[in-house]
Amino acid sequence: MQRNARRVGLAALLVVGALLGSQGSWPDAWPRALRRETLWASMLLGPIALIALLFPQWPKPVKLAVSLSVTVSLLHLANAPSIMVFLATPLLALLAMRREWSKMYHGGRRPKSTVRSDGETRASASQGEVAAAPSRTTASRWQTIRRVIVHSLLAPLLSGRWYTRTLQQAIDQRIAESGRGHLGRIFVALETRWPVVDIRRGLSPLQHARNRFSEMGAWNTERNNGVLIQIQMAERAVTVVADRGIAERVEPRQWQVIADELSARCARGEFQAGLLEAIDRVAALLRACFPATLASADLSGRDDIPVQP
Amino acid sequence: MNRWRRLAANALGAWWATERYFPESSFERIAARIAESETGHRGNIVFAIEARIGLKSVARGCTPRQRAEEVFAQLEVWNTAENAGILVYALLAERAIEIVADRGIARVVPDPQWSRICLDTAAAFARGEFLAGALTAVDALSGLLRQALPALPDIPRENDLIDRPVLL
Repeated sequence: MQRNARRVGLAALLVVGALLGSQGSWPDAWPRALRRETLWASMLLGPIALIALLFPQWPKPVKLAVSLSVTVSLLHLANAPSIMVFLATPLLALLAMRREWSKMYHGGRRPKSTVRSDGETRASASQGEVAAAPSRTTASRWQTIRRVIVHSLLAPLLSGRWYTRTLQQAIDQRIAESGRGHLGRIFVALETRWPVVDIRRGLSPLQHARNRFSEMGAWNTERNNGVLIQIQMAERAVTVVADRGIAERVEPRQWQVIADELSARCARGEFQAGLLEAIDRVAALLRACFPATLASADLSGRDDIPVQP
Repeated sequence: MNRWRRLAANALGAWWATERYFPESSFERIAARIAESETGHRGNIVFAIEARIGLKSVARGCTPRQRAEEVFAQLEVWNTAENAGILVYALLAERAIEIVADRGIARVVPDPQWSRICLDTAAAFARGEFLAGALTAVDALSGLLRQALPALPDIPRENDLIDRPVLL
């Protein structure tokens, strides 16, 4: 229904545009180039939209062929330079075949199951992960659009105000210092915005943090005791993800306390102090569970780097 | 393979390959075999098939091995109780098979055994026996796992990961 409404709107708009353009009743004040562009656009897209609207039950190749021939004859009628015709045909074919193309690219089928595509989190029973933000699994279209706007416009403007070199240095230093007392590993990820694919999938901050945990290799620790603290600026979310080795020895409430505390301090703008304190608290937990007394030989290869993707 | 040949292989190779070589029925048979084998040991086997990898990452110099490690992270094969997840990754365009094993199992099994399984599977795929090759690989891996981490009778095992082959 909604799809049809969109098609009606598009087709009507394009037909009106084409009529206006060809009748010459285009407001003179408007630039000529704009008029030409509208004309071409309506000729290219109009037939596809119209035919998709009028004959939705036709098989796709027929619809494609008909709309292509209409477009080409329209272009001829309008005395378009033949280069336009040559350009338009493959372009339109590609546009119409987009879905088939991607199906072919994926080897004949759409990918059935990838972990990142769906919202469910598997096997999280023994994994501690908390977020100081409302969790959201499915988002409506408007929510998605709003999130895209926030992520792509506002967040980059803000990022320079909180992510500074001194902040990074302070975090590096604190992680290195606190790392002497325990065998765990602490990761800090400061992220201004998400990639758009993640927004379109409607992930919650927690699912996103989990993916980040995977990507950063925070799971790659000898005793499964990596902890990831992440600030997701555009989502206004703070997440703490702990691997199963540490999560089974610490009760989930404590992670929540750390996340809530950090999120409250970030809301007051005290990023550095809040982060350093969160690192200290996580380090204290790690020190209690994995003290560095027994084996300190395998401490090599410690490279805790806060990243800003 | 140098970079240009790899680019060409990933752009032009293995079109419609997953459909032809791994039809739905063989997906189900591999899944059944993995599920069956996992009753006998405490490891986890994940089978991932990819037709080709993106040209951008090939141009950046991403080898099949690196891609396999990426997939290992992405599919959360690391997320098992005893760190005994094994990923079998097949990249059809470059005819590459990679096996990535988590530390819990990798430190028990010596390297030549992994590479032997890898070579056997690659040879079977080169002969065109895709289903048979995949099933043999699963059997060989579950043999290794059965030796290293046999199932304990009293503890019910949690099956953390998907048995069904993953199409990327």
